[in-house]
Amino acid sequence: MKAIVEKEFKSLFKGFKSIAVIAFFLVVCFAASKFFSNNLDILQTDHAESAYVSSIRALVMFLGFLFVMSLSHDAINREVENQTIRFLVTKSARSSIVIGKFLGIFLFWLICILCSFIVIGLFAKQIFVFDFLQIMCFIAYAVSLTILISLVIKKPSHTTFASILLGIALPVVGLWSVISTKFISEIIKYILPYYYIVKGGYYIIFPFFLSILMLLTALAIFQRRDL
Amino acid sequence: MKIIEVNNLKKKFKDHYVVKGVTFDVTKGEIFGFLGKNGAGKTTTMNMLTGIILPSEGSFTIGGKTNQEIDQIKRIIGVMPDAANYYYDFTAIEHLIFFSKLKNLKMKKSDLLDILERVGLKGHEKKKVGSYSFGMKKKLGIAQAILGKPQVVFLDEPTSGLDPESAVEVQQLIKELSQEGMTIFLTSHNLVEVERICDRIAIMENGIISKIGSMEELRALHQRTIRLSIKIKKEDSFIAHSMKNHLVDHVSDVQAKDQYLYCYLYNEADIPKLIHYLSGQNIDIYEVKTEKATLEDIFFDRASGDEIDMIKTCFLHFMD
Repeated sequence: MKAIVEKEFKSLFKGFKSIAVIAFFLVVCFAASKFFSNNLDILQTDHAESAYVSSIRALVMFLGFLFVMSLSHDAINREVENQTIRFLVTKSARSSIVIGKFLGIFLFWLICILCSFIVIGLFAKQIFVFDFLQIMCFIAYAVSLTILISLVIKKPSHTTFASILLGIALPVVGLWSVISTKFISEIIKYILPYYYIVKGGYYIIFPFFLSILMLLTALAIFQRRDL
Repeated sequence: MKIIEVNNLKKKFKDHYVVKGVTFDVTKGEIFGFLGKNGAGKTTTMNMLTGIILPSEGSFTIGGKTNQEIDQIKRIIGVMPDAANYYYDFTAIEHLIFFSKLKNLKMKKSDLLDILERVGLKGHEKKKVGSYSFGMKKKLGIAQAILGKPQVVFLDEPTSGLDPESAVEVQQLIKELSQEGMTIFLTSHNLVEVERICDRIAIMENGIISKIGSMEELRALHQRTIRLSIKIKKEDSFIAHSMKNHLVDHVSDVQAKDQYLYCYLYNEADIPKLIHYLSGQNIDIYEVKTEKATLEDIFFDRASGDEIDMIKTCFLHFMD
């Protein structure tokens, strides 16, 4: 599994898109943190502490799905289509492949978000551990969903389209479900991570559980698939 | 000692059984050839044994582990799948490093270079696999399959598409691996290759194994083990008919064509008896050639064809 984690992690760093995403995160966090440190009067509110992390939180909530899915939508179906999966599946357990892919992608985002938090921490002179964990739970959800989609949809060209569509639709639907009182939104809000983020506190553990549930579903599908 | 035991293995795609129940075993250290036409089900069988696809019915064990313990089986096998692609941005050595890590093998770079040298890829280890020829990719396939000296090596058509020189090198390598104690399970279309290197052979037709055994056992099953061509003065169908009647325990068939008598014998010990009979009939013999049934004869079941010819000949004689 270690080899798959390492390969997935390294391959994400090789692409131009990945570097652009990391740079984007760092620039936004740097600019926002600099703005707040130059305008300390804004921070004289009840939510002063969270003002610093608001930039990265907004980034992840609005663009998190889009970024994660656009970078990794073909994590598994590309290997199946190219038939490189046959080398993996004859050497390693199927569960190791799915979990390895998940961990490789998750690790990439962990580094990316960690770097952003370091930038924020340097300006705020504070470590935002809980906010970091909260965002990582959201990322875990997004990565698991990406893996699941990559297994359910067999063609990478189709997941390219699906990732853009879902990347835009999920934040809109997720945030609408939080504020709406319609029956359907009552169901959706428990499925998507936005309600738990808005609720804050230890509710954030729920997206992590949902992430595990999706990963187990992906595993069950992959275990039964002919490659 | 049986290292592979397959019991009534079946594979169904949609409503169609591609493998209709195969049962066979492979002894430790032998080179086992799996022959069949396109679509016979040999690659599907191999893919089931290696965990690429899942069996619909039946079971198998490899190294004492059942198909329910496929992840443990993967630790003792090496596989060169036929339809598999490499990571084209990886070099050969990067592939071997990655694959050895996948199998949790602790191998030094020098060991990996030795394997590449063994398959004839020395000097190409730093080239991207995307620039490799078809033959080089095949050799890399064998290299990755023998990483860590697995107990069983599955090779799906290891020499197809290779030039004759490379094919002979690969055949030699397969023999060496067998001598080192590895069990080789290979599928092939190349009948000459299979006959040359395999200890035992299974022939698959329409999802079932139609014939299985060593070459000698297959020849025995084929019945017409030895074909004897005898050149005589002129075509003589009477003597052919006479031989069939008088040497019924020694020859399975005799055909006369031009100056030749083609005699199908059960074993070599029958040759002197046949020559002795012809001498007794004052037949002058100009030339005698013996040929054993080849795998090609067995594969295409030439006997059946000859029998049809024989029936036709008899029918024409009867009409005359």
